[in-house]
Amino acid sequence: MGILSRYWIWFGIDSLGHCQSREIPAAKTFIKQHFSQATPAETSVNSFSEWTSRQIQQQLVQWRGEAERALLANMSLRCFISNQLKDFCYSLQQRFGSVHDLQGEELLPYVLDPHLEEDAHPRSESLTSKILETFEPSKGNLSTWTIRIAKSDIRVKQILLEHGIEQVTDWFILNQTSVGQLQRILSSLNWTPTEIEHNLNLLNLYHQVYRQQILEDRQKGSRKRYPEPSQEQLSQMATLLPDIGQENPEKVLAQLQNLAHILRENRIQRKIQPHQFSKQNAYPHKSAKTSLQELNTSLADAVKAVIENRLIYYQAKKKNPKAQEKARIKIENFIRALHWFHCQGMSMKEIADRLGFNDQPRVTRLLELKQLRSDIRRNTVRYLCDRVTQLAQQKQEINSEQLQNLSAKVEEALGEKIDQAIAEDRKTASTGTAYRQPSQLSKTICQYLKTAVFHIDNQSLKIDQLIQEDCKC
Amino acid sequence: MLMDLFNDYAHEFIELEETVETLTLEAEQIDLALQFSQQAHPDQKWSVYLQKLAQFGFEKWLQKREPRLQIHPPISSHGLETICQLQVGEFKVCIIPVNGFSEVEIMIPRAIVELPEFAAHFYVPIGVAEDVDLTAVLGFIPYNQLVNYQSQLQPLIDWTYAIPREWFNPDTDELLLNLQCLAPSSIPLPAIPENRQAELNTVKTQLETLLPQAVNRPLWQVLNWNQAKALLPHAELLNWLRNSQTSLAISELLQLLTQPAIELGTWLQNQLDDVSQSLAWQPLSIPVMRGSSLTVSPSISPVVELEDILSQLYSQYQIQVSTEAACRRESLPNDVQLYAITWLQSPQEWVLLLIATTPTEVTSSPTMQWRISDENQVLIERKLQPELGQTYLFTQIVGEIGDKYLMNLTIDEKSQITRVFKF
Repeated sequence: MGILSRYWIWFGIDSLGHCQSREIPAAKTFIKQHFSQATPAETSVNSFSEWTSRQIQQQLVQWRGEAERALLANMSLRCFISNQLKDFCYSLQQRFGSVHDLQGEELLPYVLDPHLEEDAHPRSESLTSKILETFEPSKGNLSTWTIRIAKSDIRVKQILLEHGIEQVTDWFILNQTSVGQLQRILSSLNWTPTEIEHNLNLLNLYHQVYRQQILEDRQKGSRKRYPEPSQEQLSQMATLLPDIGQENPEKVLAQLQNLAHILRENRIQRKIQPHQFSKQNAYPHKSAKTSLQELNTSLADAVKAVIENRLIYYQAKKKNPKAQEKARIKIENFIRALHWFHCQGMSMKEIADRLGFNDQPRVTRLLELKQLRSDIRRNTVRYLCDRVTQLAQQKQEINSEQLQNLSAKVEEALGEKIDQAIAEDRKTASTGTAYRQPSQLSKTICQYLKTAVFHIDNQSLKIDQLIQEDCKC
Repeated sequence: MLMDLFNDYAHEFIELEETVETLTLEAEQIDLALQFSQQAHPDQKWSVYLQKLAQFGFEKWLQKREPRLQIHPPISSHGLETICQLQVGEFKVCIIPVNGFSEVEIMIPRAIVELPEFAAHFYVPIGVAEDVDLTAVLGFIPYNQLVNYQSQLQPLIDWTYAIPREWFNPDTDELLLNLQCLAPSSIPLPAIPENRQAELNTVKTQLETLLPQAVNRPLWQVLNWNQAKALLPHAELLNWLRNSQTSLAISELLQLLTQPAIELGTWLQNQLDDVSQSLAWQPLSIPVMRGSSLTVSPSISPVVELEDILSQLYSQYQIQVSTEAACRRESLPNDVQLYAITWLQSPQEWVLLLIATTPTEVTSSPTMQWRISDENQVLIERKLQPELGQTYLFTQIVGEIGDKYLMNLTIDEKSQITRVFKF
């Protein structure tokens, strides 16, 4: 019964982007009525046997096509998929959450539906609809199919990549590998020259045929991931391989999969080592000749330049009114969040609540604190360089070592590292209160925000006006 | 149960050592990259697509992080799978497109390390996840560090080096800092050797036979690296390979690139360059035209012959020679005379008028035909038609400073004379 309930409990996303579950009574009655009894085949011989998932799904898909039971069959299947998608997000969190800061809540709004579509032939382009429309019960069960489609979803892949997780399928790895790389790998495995030549040919043909297809797909606007090569593509490759022949596309497929397997193994062995130069240790920390006042002035200039740049970047090239409105909201939220973080020492959680965001990662993405800090640090160095060379009335000829020294000095002056601040923030998030000693960077940003006039959408606004206004998220 | 299902795919998820800063590509940028790829040679479409996406991603990154750095993309591509020498501020940057973000090796063409023509201050791999519209700057390595490593590198058969990812500094902020503050002189780049023409000349005959085979095959399958090193600095030869429709024979293009050129500029300064001197070109003053043409009589002097032709050209084709023009004459086999007259039409534009005459005193004058080509195509191909009373061939070329032209003249179907003229 535990498994059966997956066909009547539906997981969806509410208007605030939070995951909610709901029991669908009609689906419950329907499922219980049909599937809590023995299978039709078994009843006649009087021995009880439960329905398998596969049988249930086959039956429901069949009923979707019949007018009488279409509605309920459709709802039940959608409930099942929503359960599977929710579990998928949390299993990603379980696997990658701690190292890559990935939370299931971040993914859920992109995979779950806001409404339970009752229509058997929905119009929406949701992931659930896509899974249901492409599902063929004869080829496998719905749980596998759901994972297979969900993991290739563009938004899922984007979020995973943003968190430092890349999906590398066989077809991607083959597309990525060059003929030179393959030759080196196969030689190191002591393959014979004939075998090597054959496989280099194979990879070369794969590139020709497969890449051409991807480019054609992209031209038509399709963002399809890297699918398994079609029968037609395999035959095309087989024809051009003298020792295989057109009638053997399966052989080409097997050989390609084998190659991909070898490449994957090789890749695992060649895991990326830490970068060889650690700039912090590369140069001794010598004192650079800069005064505290020069440094503070440069920092203030840098804060102004970097924040202004960021606002210009967000507004740039937004052609249609919808995108412009989105950019305006983003900028306003950005300034507010900066103020709350740096001037009031609020935690990400508090900022998320104030802005009406359902998850903290969204605030992190909005603020991009790490990059902002780097940009400010770098520009401080730049302004310092300008000042130092102007004072010395010499041509600006800064070498790498001098640059590293100045950079280290600025780093020290900025105080608290953003990584530490965020980690600290996460630790205290559960208690909801976080007091941070304001760093020099925070103080300078705060000073700038107090006096700055922001030009947003032909309006000139000051910080007080922005934080007094109700948040429009 | 779900973890079991998920485990089927677990091997597909690769965890990056460091999270990278991702940038979303706009739909217009993807369309533009596709357009560029459509114009490329079939074998290079995918590479060009990735190169362009990488370039747009890099530009977007700079726009976000440091908009004051000015970017100027290179004018021509060398078909090297990378965008060499993108100018960023005062630095040359080489963009290396990488399919995906988790590659453990970065493939770079051997040429961009070994040939000074392609050297850059910074080599920057850009991850392109084109299926999800994302790019990321993966790291960088300055030229001097890369060269230090070179002895540890073994070239692969396709003329690439596989550089371990960890050689690249993943701290991309440091790249921005360098681009903003560093003096370019702190990363010295090698000078381009002056003997490129001579190097090409040594493999010219080999290339004449081999290059036509490389039209539909990768170059590395056809040439050895020595031949490639001589060829790659010459974009004209790579263009020839990509432009399979061209009427220009490879032998003529190689001739144009290797044969010492006659420097027309020196003529205008009343001097004779080395090549003209070695070919015994004779200075000739520009004849004053007398308005009507004369019947060319035997033993006529070159000045009179030229004067007559010029007045014909003026009356029939409105070709008027500038009074500032310089004129030279060379005697060729079978008493053929070659006249070259050159002048400056505007500060940027030069004119070259070439005339080849057959002797009139002999009963059967030699047959004569010529082709005039530039680096891309045959511009003019003409044959003398004595049956129509023609006694000379002529052509007028207009070009810019630095342009080179090859004249290939065949006399009596046996003597072949080639001359390269440079403005």
